[in-house]
Amino acid sequence: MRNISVQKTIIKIVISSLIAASLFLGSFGFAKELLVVGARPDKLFIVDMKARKVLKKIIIPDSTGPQTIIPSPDGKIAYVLTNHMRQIVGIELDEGKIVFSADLDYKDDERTWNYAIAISPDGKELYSYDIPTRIHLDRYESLEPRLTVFKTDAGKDAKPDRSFAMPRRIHLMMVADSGALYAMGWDFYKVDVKTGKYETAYPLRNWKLKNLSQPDALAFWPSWDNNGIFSTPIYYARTDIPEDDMSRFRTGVLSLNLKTEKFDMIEFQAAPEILFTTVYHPDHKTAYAAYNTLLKIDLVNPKTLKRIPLEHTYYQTNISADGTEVYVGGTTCDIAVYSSKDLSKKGQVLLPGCPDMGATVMRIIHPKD
Amino acid sequence: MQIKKTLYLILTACLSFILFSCSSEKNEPKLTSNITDEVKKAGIELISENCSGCHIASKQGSFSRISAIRKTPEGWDMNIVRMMIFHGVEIEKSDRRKLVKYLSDTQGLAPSETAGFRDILERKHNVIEPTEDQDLMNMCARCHTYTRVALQRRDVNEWQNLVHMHLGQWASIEYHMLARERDWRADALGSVSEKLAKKYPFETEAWNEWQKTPWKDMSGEWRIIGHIAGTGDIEGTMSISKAQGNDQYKTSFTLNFPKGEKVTGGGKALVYSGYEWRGTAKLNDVKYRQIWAASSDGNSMKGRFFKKSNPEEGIEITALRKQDTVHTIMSVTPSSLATRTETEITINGINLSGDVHIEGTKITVKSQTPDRIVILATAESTPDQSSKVTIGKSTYDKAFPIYKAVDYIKITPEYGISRVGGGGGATAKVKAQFEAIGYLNGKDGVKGTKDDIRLGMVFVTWSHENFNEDAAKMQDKKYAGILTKRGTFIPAIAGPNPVRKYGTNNVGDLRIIAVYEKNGVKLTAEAHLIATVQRWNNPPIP
Ligand code: HEC
Ligand code: HEC
Repeated sequence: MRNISVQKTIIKIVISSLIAASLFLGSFGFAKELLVVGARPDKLFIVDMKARKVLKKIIIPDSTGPQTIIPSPDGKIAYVLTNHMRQIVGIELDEGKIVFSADLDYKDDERTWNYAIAISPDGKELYSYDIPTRIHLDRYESLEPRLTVFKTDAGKDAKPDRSFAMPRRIHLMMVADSGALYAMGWDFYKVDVKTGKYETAYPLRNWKLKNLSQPDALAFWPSWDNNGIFSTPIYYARTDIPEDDMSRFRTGVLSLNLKTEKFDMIEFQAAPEILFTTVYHPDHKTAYAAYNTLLKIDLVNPKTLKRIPLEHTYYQTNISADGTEVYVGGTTCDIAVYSSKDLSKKGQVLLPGCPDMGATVMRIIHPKD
Repeated sequence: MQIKKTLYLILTACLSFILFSCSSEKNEPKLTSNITDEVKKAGIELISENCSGCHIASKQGSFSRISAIRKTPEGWDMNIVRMMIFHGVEIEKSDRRKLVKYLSDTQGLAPSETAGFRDILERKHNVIEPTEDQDLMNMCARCHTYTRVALQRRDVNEWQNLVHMHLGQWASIEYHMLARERDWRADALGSVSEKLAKKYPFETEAWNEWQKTPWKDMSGEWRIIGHIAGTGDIEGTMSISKAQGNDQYKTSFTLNFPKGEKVTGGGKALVYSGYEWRGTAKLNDVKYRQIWAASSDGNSMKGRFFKKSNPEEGIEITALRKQDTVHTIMSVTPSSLATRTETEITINGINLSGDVHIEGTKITVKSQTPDRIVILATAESTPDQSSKVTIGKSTYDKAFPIYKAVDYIKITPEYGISRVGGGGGATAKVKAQFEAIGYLNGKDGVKGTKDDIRLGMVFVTWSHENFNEDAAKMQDKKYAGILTKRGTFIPAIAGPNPVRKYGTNNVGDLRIIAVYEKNGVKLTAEAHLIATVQRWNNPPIP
């Protein structure tokens, strides 16, 4: 039963997400580290996690609920998806000024749903994955999804620079250090942002791994801010194990190294357990996963090293640049802090007024002065 | 196709008052439509006024999209509500009602087309839908019931239009579990639309025939019998009189509920599509609604009488028109007889006269009217376990088992759902009603085989427990709600419960236990209850 309601929760979560390249990889302890997170209906908070202190609250004008957040590579601007997944607003974080805005419903007879956003390593281009529907007088017409490229200097009424057809069902995009765009959907695609050409970089729906069922991995959360690695829990079944044996259900961590562009799939436990997100430790030897529980996972000799119950459900995990603290957030209005060593609780940050984080994301930035 | 064209022709003809054209259709099979020209004209005007801004009118009096789909009254109403919510249509309440009526009458479903899907339509709670096609269920019945789908008729392009609406309105539809591992859009627009168009096409023989069947006058005196799950049988009478036209009626009820409770009241009803009886009534000051279907001869009705505030609480009824020529037994309460004990039995029906006889029993008649006979019966033998009840020339069409002892009991539903509510929130609690049914093993002496004999509702002691270890850890039994002596599970209040782990809502996973004890025999049965969260909207067809 709880599985049922959990599934429903998963279904309700319709957020997408983005990248901040891996410029900060290796910048341990360098400059100040800040966490940016949204909350309903129109809030953006900047938090000093180490000091357990909310530094700033920014109001996003005319917003109905921020979803994914994409920091600019220099950490100065946050691009926020809002207004029912059809508007991207760029907010300069120092002063809270709007510096960019793109209406994704840019065609009069269309309504659009955004399912993923990414930014180029130089911060000059935004990539938006949109699913349009043409609204006729008396009927709808579902159209093919497209990748729309916006120039980040296009101002507050940004128009697309170019756009390309894309496969359906993409839910997360990220950019490698090289500038290559990766899009995760039925399969993991590598997209040329100049030509719109794409190819399968890592098959998922079409993987041919022996004795493994089609995998399930619906990732919406960015996980690469402090480690240069995209990672997500991935589920599949061992088809060579009898149906009534729960150990046939396997959980792994699927990852893409944004520097080397290498994929990896590490199976770490059998039996079903719902996990929404994972985050790699900056040393890439362990990872952390969360939902109702928080897990520490050994990636070298794959296994679950420790599991603790969380005080409530959390969607997202993140980690400090020095690798000492694991953050869990999303869902309500607190971000809990755990020791990356033994998962002991070290503290928490409450967002003032207890606004609902819902399906927004926690991003970690290192603004350069 | 022919008939449809003819209908359109007649519509145009009468619209443009070229009566000549009406009569020029003499050679075609004559349509004795129940809809008068006047009503047609008014209906078309209503659509024209409210809908033609977006739905293009043709010269033939049809409107794009609207004229290509058939739905139930509930289906049409939900459709218009969507026009209001999604497309900003503003429509007067009375116009909305008239439109639903007109569209159901002219583009409804025939009785045979709704027959297999009435449970959900009647707001029955905790019923399992018929699964004809698992792939259709996966594709189309994971957000709403399959009934919502199966109670519409349209051709392939209109099924596709519906899929386009879903994709445009809920982009997440492609990302859900059971969808994301396939190309949901391609499948829905392709094989699924094709399959639905074959199963549920716009044009059917059944609907063509039904439109030619004259609507029956429902007024008259009626006899009603029914059952309240967990509580017992009801019976009584209903008077129906005409209020207006050939489809609006007034009703009054005199009913006997279990334990001698007298219930009276009255109300009104509107008949859609010639047989879909929709009524409201106040019974002893409680507001009830009726969703019933009349038989094509207009002499019987079947459906549910349920509380307006709690549709899950209701009575399943059968009503028969009282006619001089009809002598029939409608119900026998209780529906079986234990040996050794003298038992009072009520027999309900129409024009009951003559001697009462139940094979294997000694009977004394306590009272007798044409509607109702009360007897005291003592079983002297157990004649092959299923006996017959006869009164004069009428024989009850169901077996009347006589038994020494109940062999086993079963709970219905075996799997139930309740929903938290109240607590100042917008949605009421949705209770779950359980009922224990007694059975005999039958000739083969084996439980759970075809020849088992259903004895009817038995009184049991109810209790509930945590379903499993997880539930025990979460203390579901403590938080999820209470179970009454009548097997009604009343869920707890809505909203996160701060004292529960994870601040969980008062949800729970529970085992419902019934214990039956009689003459030293102790029988138990179990059912599964999911006490879950509320639904945020409660559309007429969930
Ligand atoms: C403002 C424009 C507008 C008006 C006015 C309007 N509709 Fe619609 N209607 C639409 C659109 C757009 C769709 C397609 C999307 C949808 O199904 O919601 C639609 C779809 C429909 C459908 C097809 C639904 C299905 O089940 O596939 C029906 C039937 C319908 N409308 C009936 C009506 C009726 C009856 C009225 C008048 C009370 C009306 N509409 C008024 C815009 C409108
Ligand atoms: C993501 C959940 C979801 C799935 C999957 C889904 N539906 Fe629906 N459907 C809805 C919702 C929500 C509505 C209510 C629309 C409204 O408010 O009128 C609806 C409405 C409908 C209606 C009533 C529309 C009307 O105006 O009368 C029909 C018929 C229907 N769906 C058929 C289907 C079919 C066929 C499929 C499979 C191809 C399907 N649905 C799959 C969510 C879903």
